[in-house]
Amino acid sequence: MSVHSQTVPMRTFWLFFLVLLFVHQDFWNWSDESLVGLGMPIGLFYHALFSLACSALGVWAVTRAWPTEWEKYAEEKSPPSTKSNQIRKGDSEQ
Amino acid sequence: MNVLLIISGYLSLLLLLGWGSGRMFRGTSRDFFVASHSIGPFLLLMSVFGTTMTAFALVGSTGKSFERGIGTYGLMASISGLIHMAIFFLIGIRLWALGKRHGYLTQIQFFRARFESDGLGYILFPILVLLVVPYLLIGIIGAGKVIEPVTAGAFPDLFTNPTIPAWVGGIPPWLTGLVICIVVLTYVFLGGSRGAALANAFQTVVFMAMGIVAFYFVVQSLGGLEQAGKVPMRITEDGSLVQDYRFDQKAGILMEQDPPKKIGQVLNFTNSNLTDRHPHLGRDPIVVEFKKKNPKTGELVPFERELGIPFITFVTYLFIPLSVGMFPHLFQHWLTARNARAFKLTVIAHPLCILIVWVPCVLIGSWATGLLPPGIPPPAVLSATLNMLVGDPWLTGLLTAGVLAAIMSSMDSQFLCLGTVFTNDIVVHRAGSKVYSDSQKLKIARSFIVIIVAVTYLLAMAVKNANVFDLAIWCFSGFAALFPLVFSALYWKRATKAGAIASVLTALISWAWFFHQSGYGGEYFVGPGIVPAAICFLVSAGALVVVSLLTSPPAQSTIDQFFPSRS
Repeated sequence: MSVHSQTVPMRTFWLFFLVLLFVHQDFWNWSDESLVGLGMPIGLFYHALFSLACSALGVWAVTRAWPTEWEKYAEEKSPPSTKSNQIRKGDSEQ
Repeated sequence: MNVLLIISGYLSLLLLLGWGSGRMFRGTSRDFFVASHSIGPFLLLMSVFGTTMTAFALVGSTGKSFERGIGTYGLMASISGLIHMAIFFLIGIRLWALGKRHGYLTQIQFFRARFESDGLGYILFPILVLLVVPYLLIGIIGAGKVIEPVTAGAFPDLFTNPTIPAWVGGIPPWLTGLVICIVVLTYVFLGGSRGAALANAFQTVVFMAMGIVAFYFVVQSLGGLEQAGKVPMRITEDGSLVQDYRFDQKAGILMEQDPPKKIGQVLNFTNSNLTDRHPHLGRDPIVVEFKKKNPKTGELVPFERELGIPFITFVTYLFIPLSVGMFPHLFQHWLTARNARAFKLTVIAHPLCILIVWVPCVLIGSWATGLLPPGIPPPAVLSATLNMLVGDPWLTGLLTAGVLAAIMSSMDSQFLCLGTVFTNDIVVHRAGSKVYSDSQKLKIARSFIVIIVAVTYLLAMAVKNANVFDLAIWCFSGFAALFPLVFSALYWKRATKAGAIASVLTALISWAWFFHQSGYGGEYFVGPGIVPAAICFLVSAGALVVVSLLTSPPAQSTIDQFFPSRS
């Protein structure tokens, strides 16, 4: 199993993300100044609700698309050959 | 004077916290740099949120809303909620996992290893410093702008050269900047990464709580939410911009002005549909002319301002929050996490925290257009509004402490990060990891932090009238232009060293070009209102893809290391 194997939940996450990205462009409220919930103008109230939707997507992501494999990968002992953070000048730029 | 007492008390409390976290310090460089990977979910959320929200969030958002209206929230806050959440989830967790597994302390270590290039680190280091410094500047400038109006009159014989005449005797920006630099420096010195995380958490709670308290009292003073919604400036039938209300500070009530006070004029007014509209409650772009008093001569000088937000600007602003993926100080915060599960709360709650902080600030900024003179410097709008509407010095002191908390909770991480990067990616990297002892590494990091603080402070004094919001946007734009680097490092096996270098250089050149065009930090758009960050991002991504495809792919061992698979 690959650490990149959570294909379906990740694709769903991206789909939700793109939908929210579109929903964010609320040109349909652009000129509307009417005051709605809590005395807020609609252009602000809409985006406050949008923030709640982002949080809901966060809940979905951590419950349905959590990258468990990466979590396990981090906790495993690193083999000596992968200690390449010590790359020094000349090591790799031949 | 009471305001000063409260602010001094708050700063003393922070020093105490720094002393406390210093006692928890384990004395190792790993503990100083990444708190020995020991930070849990709540502290991670508070430190990540506190770091990303600075003077920009409180002072800048209120000022920008004062200029352009409620569209400011959608422009920066709600889109940040979506993009930041996605970045923490898609990038933060992977970087944490790779950092934990391979022992990276800095972003540059990760990029050097992933792109098999020592040189990439040397190219990235000055660029990251160059971009973090403006971020620090906005903190120092923002703090100065906030403190001066709320302490006006405290020392009339001592401070006789205020930013505007009404603030005579207030603590000048140079002194505020100096004091907060020293306080932040002290607790970062004592506690390192853990000290910064604890101070961040404390300060984030303080500024969120104070934001809510400030909002409550402002709403009360304006006679409730419904009434407050009528306060913003209005356009009359002849295109004049008027204030229908004024706030009687002695009586503590909002009074209707009859006739309304004219403060400006819509330019080229031909659209009768604008009559009786409050332009700050919508987003239609309207160009208006105001007048402001020259503080030296007292002469009224006209100036133009665009209210509202062009749609193309709104759309292209989505590139700016991508910057969090490349913030070196955020990378360091991610590495402090105890485990991957610590990220869950941050992914879920970050958009909510943005909502809690930004909505009140944006509303206050739009309401203030109906009460304050239009020529007031945007960074001073929040404190001037609080001063006018809340009045009570104790409360104003507490609220001001909240603003300082937001500012300092970002500065500490940035100072610490620059010290960490310099020590690990330049000094230790060049000399070899065994040349310096742990205590020597700590000394090097702390010395570099002192130098950066001094340089930043002097720079802040040189550009003390810069617009906090616009300067922050330039800083974010630079980091956003570098975003293709981190995304490709994690998601595209074919990304190569040459592609990465091409991407970084293209990002730098395009950003520097637009920054120069803007007059070094002003508001600037390309064509019909496109944000420069969008163009910088696209050319940087294009360079990365094209050059990577034209060069040899990375070694299989590198791909195995960064794109692990197991059977």
